[in-house]
Amino acid sequence: MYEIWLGLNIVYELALGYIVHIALYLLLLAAFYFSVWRQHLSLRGAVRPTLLFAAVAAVLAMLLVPASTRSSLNEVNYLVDWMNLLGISLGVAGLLALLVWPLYALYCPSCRQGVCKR
Amino acid sequence: MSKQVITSQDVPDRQRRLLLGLTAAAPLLAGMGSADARYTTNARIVIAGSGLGGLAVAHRLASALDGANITVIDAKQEHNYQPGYTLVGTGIWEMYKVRDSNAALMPDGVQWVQEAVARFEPDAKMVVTTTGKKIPYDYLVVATGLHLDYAQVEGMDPRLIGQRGIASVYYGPEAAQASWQVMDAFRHKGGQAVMTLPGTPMKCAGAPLKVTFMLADRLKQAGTLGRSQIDFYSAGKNIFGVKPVNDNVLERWSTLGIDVHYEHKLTGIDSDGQRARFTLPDGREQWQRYDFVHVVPPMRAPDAVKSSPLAVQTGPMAAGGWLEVSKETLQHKRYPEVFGIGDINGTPRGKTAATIKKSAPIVVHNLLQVMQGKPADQVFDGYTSCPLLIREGAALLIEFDYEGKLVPSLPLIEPLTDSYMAWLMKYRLLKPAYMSVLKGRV
Repeated sequence: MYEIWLGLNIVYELALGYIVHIALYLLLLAAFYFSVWRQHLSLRGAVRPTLLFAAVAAVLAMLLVPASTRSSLNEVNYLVDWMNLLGISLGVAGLLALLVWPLYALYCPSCRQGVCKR
Repeated sequence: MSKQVITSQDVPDRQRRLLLGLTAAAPLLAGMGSADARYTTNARIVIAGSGLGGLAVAHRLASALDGANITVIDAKQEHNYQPGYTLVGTGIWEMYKVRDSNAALMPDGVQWVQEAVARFEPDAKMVVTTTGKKIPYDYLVVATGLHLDYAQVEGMDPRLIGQRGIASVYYGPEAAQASWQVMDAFRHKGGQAVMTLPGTPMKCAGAPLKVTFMLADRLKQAGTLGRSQIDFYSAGKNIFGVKPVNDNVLERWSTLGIDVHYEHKLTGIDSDGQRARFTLPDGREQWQRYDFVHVVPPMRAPDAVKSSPLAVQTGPMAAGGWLEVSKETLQHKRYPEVFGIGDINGTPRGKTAATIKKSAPIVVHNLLQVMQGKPADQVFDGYTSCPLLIREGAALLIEFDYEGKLVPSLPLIEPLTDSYMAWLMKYRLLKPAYMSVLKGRV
C-alpha cells in the first residue's frame, strides 16, 4: 500500500513539472474526442489500428526510454529493470494511443464514409 | 459469446456509480498519507533547521495540529536537493536542478524565523538565534543538519574547490558544479586521481564511492583511464559500513584498477604543490601528488548543538557532538520534549534523505504521543537507502538498516546487481519522491 502511495506521489510531483504539456495534451484529447462525438463517428472501427499503433509505440519506447535517460538498453539487466521498463513503455504507448484513437476515427476513410457510423 | 448491450438508461446509472465510487475512494486515498487524526493544542513547537527533515516535520505537524504555534528557525533562503550533488558533480545534472526556494516550500501557518540558531538552552526550553532573539518552546525538533569540517584538513578551504584539481561535491551546488569542471578538465588529460573518505560519521556515505565510480567512467569515456591512476584513501578499515556492499564495490574497483589504502586520514592539502597529506594510525605522514583530488571533509554537529547540553556527552558519538537521541524513538535521551531528525542525530548509519523518508512520520507520531502524555511508541529501524551510481546509466539500489542488513523495499530487487531501474530512480524519480517526503505526504 505504501509503495503504491509513494508511486502515485512521484507521478504527481513529476506531473507538476510538465503542467503545460499535460494541459496541452488534455486539451487535444478533449478536442479530438469532442469532434468524434459531434460528427457521430464510431471509435470502434479504430480500435484495431490504434492497438497496432500502441504496440509499435511500446516497442519504440522500450528502445528509446533508456537512451532518453542517459542510459542504454544494455543496462537493463534483470527482471525488475525489464518490468519497470515495460511499465513505462506501456504507459507512454497508452497515452499516445489515447490521442491516436480519435484521430484515426476522424480521418480513416471508412469512418468518414459512414461505414463506422454508430 | 454474448455481447453486453448498453442502453441509454444504463449510462447515467454507470456514471452515478462511478462518481459514487470515486467519492468513496477519495477519503481512502487522502487517508493513505496520514495516520493520525488532527489534535488541538496551543503548544509552542520549534523546529531548528529547514532542510528536508525540518520541512517534512513542519508540514506533517501543520496538518496534524490545530492551534499549535509552529516556528521554523533557519537563515537559509535556498533549499538544496543534496542527493543531487553527486549528479551535478559528475556532469549528469545541471546545477539548477538542486536549487529551490525555501520560502516556496515552507508550509502555511508556520512562522519562519530567518536567522541561524546560535545556541540551544534546553534547561530553559529556549533557542537563541544569532541576533540574540530568544525563542521559547514546549517541544523542540532539532533538524540542523551537520557541519562540514574542512578546517580539519590543513590548507583546505572550500573556496579552493574548482581550482588546481580540487573537487568536493558536498559543499553545495556551486561546489558540485565546480567539481564537475575540474573532473571534466582532468578526464581529457588523465593522470593521478586521489579520492578520500573521512573517519567520522558522514552524510551520504555512498557519495565518495559514486564520485569514484563516475570518475573512472568519465576517464573510460574519454579514453584516458589507461593512462590514469585512481587511488582511494579511507581513514577507516573499510570503504562502506555495510559489508556485502563494501566487498562488492572493492571487487568492482579491483577490475577498474582502483587501488584502496586503508587507515589513511586526509589531514592536509597543499594546493600549490597539488599534494595531499595523509596521517597514518602510528602518526606517520604520507604525501601523495595528485592531478585531481576529491576532498570529503570530516563531519560533525554544528557548534550550536555540539556545545549545548543536547549533545552526546560520552562514548564514540561525543567527539562529533551529535544529538543524543534514542536510535529507536528519535526522542532525546535526557530532554523528553526534544526530538531529532536527519543528519544531526547521533545514531548509527543513516544520514540520507531516505532516512528522513522513513523517520519523519515516526518523529511526528512520537512527538504527538508525548504531547498527549503518552509514551513515544513507534520505533525506527534505521532504514536508509543509497542508489549507488556505478557508471553513467547504471546503479545499485542499496537499502539497509541500523544493523547493516540489506532490506530491499520490494522482494524482487537485487541490491548488488547493476540496474537501469536504480539509475532511473536516482536520475529521474528520487527528486519527486524527495518533494513528496518534504511536503509530508509520504
